[in-house]
Amino acid sequence: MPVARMERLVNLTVTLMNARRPVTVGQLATTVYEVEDPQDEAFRRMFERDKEALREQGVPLVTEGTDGHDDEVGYRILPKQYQLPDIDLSADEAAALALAARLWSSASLAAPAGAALRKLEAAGIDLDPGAGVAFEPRLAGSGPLFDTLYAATSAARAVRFGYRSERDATPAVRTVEPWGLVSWRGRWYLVGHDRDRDAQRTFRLSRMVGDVELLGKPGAFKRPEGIDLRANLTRYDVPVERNLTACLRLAPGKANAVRRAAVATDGDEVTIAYASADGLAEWLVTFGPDVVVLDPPEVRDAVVARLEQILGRREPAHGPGSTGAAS
Amino acid sequence: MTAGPDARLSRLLDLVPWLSARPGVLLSEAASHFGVSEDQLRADLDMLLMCGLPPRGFLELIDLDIVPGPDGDTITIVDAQGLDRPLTLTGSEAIALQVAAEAIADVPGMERNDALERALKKLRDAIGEVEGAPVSVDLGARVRDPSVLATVQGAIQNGRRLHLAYRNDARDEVTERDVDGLRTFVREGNFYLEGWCYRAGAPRSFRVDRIEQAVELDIASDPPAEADVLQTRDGVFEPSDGDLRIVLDLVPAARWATEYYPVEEVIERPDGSLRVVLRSRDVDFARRLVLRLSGAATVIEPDVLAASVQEAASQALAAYSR
Repeated sequence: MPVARMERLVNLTVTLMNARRPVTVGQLATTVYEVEDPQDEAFRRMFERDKEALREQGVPLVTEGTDGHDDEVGYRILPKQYQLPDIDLSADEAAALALAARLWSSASLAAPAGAALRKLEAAGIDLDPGAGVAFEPRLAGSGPLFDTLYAATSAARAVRFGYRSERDATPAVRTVEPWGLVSWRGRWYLVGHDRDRDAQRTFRLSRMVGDVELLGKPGAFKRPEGIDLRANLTRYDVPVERNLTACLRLAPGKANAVRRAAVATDGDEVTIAYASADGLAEWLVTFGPDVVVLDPPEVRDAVVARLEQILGRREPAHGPGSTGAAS
Repeated sequence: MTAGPDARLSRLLDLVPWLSARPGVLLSEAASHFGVSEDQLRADLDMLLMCGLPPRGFLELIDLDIVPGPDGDTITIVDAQGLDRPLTLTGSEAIALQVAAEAIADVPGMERNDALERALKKLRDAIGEVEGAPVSVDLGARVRDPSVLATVQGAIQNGRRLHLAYRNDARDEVTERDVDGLRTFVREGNFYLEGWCYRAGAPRSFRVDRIEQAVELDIASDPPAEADVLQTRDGVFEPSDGDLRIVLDLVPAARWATEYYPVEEVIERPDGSLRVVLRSRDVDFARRLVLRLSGAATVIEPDVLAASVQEAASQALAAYSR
């Protein structure tokens, strides 16, 4: 009678882990599988599937030569490779780690994060994030697109996808060797080598159009060493030097955000520091008549130009100002 | 892609070490930890009792005792046959833990508790540093006034009510209110406080950088049971039926707005322009958006918004022609 699958897989693990020397397929046939003919095709297929199931689980199956006369290989599991090393976490450390792992609760790596925590618990660690946690890690999910790109990145397979860049309405086809996925300020990006442009590029996942196609074989490229995946995203994320000042008159009790940002206040007249006139105008115009620019003329003119555009008396300018959220 | 690891095999390989680390644990507790019924767990245990080394005489089998106790059956592993330690972490599992821990350790306010840094170091010492991880997370959280964040998080930890002066930028008003905080979180780089607002009599989210003043009161936090409805949802602004339906046409150069505002629907036009539909609790929020886009957006619906934009812009312009 064939041995039931789960029982077989556990027996195979226990047998290979306790073996002092590599175990041959022939030996496994008569012991774990209880079949008489090690050449039996059904048995061979079953053994291949079982090996695959253990490897998917992360069980480190080692193939070694045996001491036998022929070149037959044997299998074993080295306990040192199999077993999770000792991690001696104090209660507060375990709680902090469990809390941090919640980052993935609705996002892409939820399954491996959960499996990792279950292994730590299986090692005897209690992971109770505890009560009164003031900070809750959260990350927006990114759906099946992330899974496909993560798999392609891990396997070093090139990808092809439609991409609508920030200002282009028509999607273009891009072929990329993916190096990694970055979540920055709540948005996911793919970083990689764009084959057509022969340069490193960063793509926002939300701008990809249609399906992602995996190309070629795994291991088709190697990510260069020392790549900083975030570099392209954080390059412009430096505090803007606001070394210009503008003088504004505010309606009584209004434009509270402007009041808060003022570097000097004299009743309803305030001074604001700024970097670009149009960037400042983009913000000030949202307050309508509650903010009037007194000085300098470049800011006043920028606000007036925007007001005329709103009223249809002037063609709109292009794109957001320097305070614009687009990156 | 493959179907991934077999869930029952994962459980069995976790189960033996988990039980080994907790001799005499209640069967019901084990079932609840692994998220299975007690019957399923008994079936797992029965199967494990059949497993062991070939030729699997009774001395080479996994052995465990199930003993009735006052609170129910308890389990003790007698012989784990080498399965008493869990499997080591796979690449993705190590990446998931380390990337999360690193991302959270970077968040402002976390430096007040070094437990995560210690945990991360022990994890790296045990399983090694993940080199060239294919994933990187930076919440990009920034705070202008760390003392407000510290007060807010302190009150949550101490279980105390907060008194806030909060600036609502859409309505351009600063109001005072008492809030029982539940948690803080980061979304798109901004810190938010979530809690029960006594002024609104409802759960509310507050952007921490718009809290002008925060004071921890000498009153125990006591949010009503219905306070915690925001927990599972991702967004801060949840459209409701009472909200205004706003329809705008955007020129191609204003496409970026669709990525930063909660648009419900986007219709692409052949010329690259867009028609977008969004929801707004009041006209104020939408008017500010249209003013900001300065002519790159045309109001299609509703008329009250178009009129409000016209009025604000004409009045503002009049101030400059005096």
